[in-house]
Amino acid sequence: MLAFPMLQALSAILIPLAIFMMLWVRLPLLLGLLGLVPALTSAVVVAAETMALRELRRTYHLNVRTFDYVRFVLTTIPFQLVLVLAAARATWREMIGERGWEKTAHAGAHLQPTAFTASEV
Amino acid sequence: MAFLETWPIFVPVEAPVRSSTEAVTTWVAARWTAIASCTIVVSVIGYVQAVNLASWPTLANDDEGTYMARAWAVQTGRGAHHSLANYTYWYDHAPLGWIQLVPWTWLTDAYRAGGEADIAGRRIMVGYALVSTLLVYIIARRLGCSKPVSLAAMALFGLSPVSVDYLHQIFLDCIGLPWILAAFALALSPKRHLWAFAASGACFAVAVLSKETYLLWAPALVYQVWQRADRRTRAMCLVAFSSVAAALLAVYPLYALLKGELFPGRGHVSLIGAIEWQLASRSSSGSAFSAASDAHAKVLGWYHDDRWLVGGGILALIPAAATRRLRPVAAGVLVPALYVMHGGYLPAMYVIGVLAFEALIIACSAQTLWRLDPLGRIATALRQSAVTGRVLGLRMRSHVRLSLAISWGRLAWRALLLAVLVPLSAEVVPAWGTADSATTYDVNTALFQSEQWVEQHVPKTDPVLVDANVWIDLVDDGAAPSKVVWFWELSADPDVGRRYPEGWRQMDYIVVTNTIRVNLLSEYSSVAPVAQAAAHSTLVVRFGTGTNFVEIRRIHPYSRTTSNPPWWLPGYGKLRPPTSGPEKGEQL
Repeated sequence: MLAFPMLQALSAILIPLAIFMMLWVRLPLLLGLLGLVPALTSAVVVAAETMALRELRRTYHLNVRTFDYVRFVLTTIPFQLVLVLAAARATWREMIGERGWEKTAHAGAHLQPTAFTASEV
Repeated sequence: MAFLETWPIFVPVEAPVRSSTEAVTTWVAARWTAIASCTIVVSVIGYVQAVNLASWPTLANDDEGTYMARAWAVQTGRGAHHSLANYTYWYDHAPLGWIQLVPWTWLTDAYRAGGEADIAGRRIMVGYALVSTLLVYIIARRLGCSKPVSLAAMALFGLSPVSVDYLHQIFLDCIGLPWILAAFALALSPKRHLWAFAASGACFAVAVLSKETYLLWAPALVYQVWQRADRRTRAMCLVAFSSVAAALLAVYPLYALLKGELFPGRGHVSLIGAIEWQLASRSSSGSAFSAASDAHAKVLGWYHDDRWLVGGGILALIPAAATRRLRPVAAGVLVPALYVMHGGYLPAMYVIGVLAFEALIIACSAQTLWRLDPLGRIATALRQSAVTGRVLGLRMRSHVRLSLAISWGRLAWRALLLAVLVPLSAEVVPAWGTADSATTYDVNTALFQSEQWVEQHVPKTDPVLVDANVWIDLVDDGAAPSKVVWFWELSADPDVGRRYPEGWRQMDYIVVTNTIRVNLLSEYSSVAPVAQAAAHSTLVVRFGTGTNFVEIRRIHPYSRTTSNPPWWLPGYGKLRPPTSGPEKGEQL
């Protein structure tokens, strides 16, 4: 489990490799089929996570609309890409020995009274 | 994390340590009656299925040889273009059926020279049959049947004359059957684990990739998952089931896509083209209700073989539909039965999947009826009603008398059921016994003799036109796959066309089996050159009598006339055996 960010960072190398192979490499059929296994398991995971979102909605009475499910499924790949880039960047920083805390800008927004937002539920 | 352990809920619980042998012994000890009784019944079924399996039923159907030849292609890698079949694989069926035979054919050395590949395959199928019957027992138990009734369900299915005929033949339906049954057994998992439903989806996908007709069981299976899963986790279970099934099923079209054979196109086979052919072009067997249809004949054939199970299963739909627990399995009979009535291409072995579910609903309905206590209920109702109770003097004071009266009612009800059941089984069981052709007849010797004759007398360089059953045995015996030509592919496979541009004229011999004679009656255009070859041939040797005789004929491609065509050849011969001369034969 602790190695997961490393694997995720590895995907940063695998993605361009996959695109290269898709376009220029002819594989034996069986290997090609084996190559589909991660895609199929990912599809099963997305299905399970969609159900998890539904459970979350029911348990905590969240306002999750149909559009949110569509958005959830459609953004899976971009979201995973962002995670991959973040993991790759983190691995790179680790390799060059830069272990400082990258803090985000602090605007103090929570100090002002605002309307109810989802984050407070 | 030591501080956590000061909090009571984080104190680690010492799990009782059990060795694995101990686990096995307790598991067996808890089930030894079931294991012992199942072993006995499975042994009986295994004996009936295995005895005389080489000689009955006839190998007149080309399917068995076809699938053995395709498993051979996968095992040896000597198929057309190293593909999934001995000839160009054209997506006529999903390939997992014969692919899963390969470990077994390899283990049992099914393709040894001089052996009969089909018989080796049938021995493997006995294993499939026994697993299927065992799964019928497990499903019956999980549907709430007692052990004796579950054993009866197993025997009902495994010993039915229809099963004895079909179950050990190398049919894709029989290969897919244990998978669809396992899917139901897992969907009925008493512990309702999420993995069980996912595994059920996986088994369903394997069943469909073995034989596409098992798609018809999808509604019943989804219903079963829906009903069995707990309301709170139902959606999750359905998603686990369907996403695993869909992901595995997707492999088949993805395989076609990777080969560039998903969509129809010029000069190559395609998955979608094959599906279009199956759905649209393949001649429909018609509705089972129209007397002239092929489907009608097939249904009558099954009914003739075992009217009790085939007909009784349909009748049992009524009590099964009335019992909530049995409805999904009843749907497993109803939907496929509706398909038969609707019409569409109906293969004869289609019955085998329906039969397992019919046996289940018959046994489960019988169990439900047995547990009913209508007389006791009436008695209780009468007693409890103040008026009738007083009038009839049935108001009992003593608890002993009360419970006695109730059990008398139950006893009377069960006696009534037995009064129906015993004469019925006295009718059914001997009727099964008389269907002894399966255990005593020998209808395949002529075929095997003719194979031996070809192996000994025909030079391996001479092209021979054969059916699939002969094909695999000649190739196992050392003939080059290019020299033995499966009669369907003479004009259908482009590879064969390239190798033999003059078609049938380049063939030297034809081994005419009943399969070839039956298909020459059909209107398929691919058999026309086979008829030509037969018309220009002379008899060399004949084996066997009756409908299963086999002729080895020498082809004379450039003989001008077909002055002496074989008498059985439609369009050429007189369809009446001559009473004298070399072609003298018996009436079919």
